[in-house]
Amino acid sequence: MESSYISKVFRFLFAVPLCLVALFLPYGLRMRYTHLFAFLFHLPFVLFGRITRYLFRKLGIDPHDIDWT
Amino acid sequence: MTSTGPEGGDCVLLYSGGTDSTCAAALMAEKFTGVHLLSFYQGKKKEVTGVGDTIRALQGRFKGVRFLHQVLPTTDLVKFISYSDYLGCLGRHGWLVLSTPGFTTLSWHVTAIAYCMKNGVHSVADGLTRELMHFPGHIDEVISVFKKLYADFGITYTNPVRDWEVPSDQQFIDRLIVDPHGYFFPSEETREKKNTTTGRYLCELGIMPHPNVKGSPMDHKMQYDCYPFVLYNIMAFWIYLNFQPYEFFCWRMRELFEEKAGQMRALLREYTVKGGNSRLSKLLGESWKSSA
Repeated sequence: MESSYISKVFRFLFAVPLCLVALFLPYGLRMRYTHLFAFLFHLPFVLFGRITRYLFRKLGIDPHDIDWT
Repeated sequence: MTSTGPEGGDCVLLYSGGTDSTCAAALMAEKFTGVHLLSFYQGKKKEVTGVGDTIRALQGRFKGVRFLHQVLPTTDLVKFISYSDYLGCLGRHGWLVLSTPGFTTLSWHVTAIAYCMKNGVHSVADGLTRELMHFPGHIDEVISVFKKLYADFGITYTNPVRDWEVPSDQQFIDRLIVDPHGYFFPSEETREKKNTTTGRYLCELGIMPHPNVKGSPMDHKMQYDCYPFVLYNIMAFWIYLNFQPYEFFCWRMRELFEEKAGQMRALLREYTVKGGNSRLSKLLGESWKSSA
């Protein structure tokens, strides 16, 4: 419970300066700033997806045929 | 399904080209003889090569229905919504002025209302489901603000696939990327009644090749860009929802969007009087004048 609260505080302290900068940016710069975060946050998932697709292709597996439940 | 028989006439559908809005288009095609599919973009227009195939598939399935696709810019309108009375708004609503996804959604609705006025249409729908319930445009309280805005101009706004199930793998990946606080599912009773997904419905109609194409290369080819939401997610999850309950967040969001909808109501009323010479017409841009 306590660690959860600490992690919330850390997330808050991390988020405040990032969002504070955005508050003072005009539209164009705010969009670029947002896209930069989008790129960085999605990068691990995009790379994971690319590796997974590569492995499925090499192994000859169609992921739609797999029962994931 | 949700069809209640043909109503005839035309309707407008806010159309991203994805599975949910395509399903909503199919449901509207069961009721109306004309479906105006409106897609939107901010910044540079993206070429979406697959959307034509999807619309042709819809046309093939509903031969008596006229589908008309328009791609409209909302850059200047989003900018206006985001920054009008900015300091006052910042004082009243704080961090929520970073709700760009919601301002983008509002710009779609305002454009749709103006389009309806121009073309004599009285019904608007979209493909909204109960995914990503922290987005302003997905919050019930904010949707009721949008519905009132439409109603003020004699237009009915509906969400025909709102309570449909979402594919389980989509929930999983979205939880990883953007929704660590979990999903707000429809009630069990609703889930039993609508035990299908939008993708499965389209697959059964022969419009999609598979019940779940979400995230596939085909999905990317047929869909317009979504609004940028990562910074908004940081604000929503790590500043607001970290310490405040979801209900409080929704209430604050409703306050913000009631104010923004008020500004838009004034712009739309001016548009009804001045038409092409109004501020709204200028915000919608040159391509607006040639549309439809």
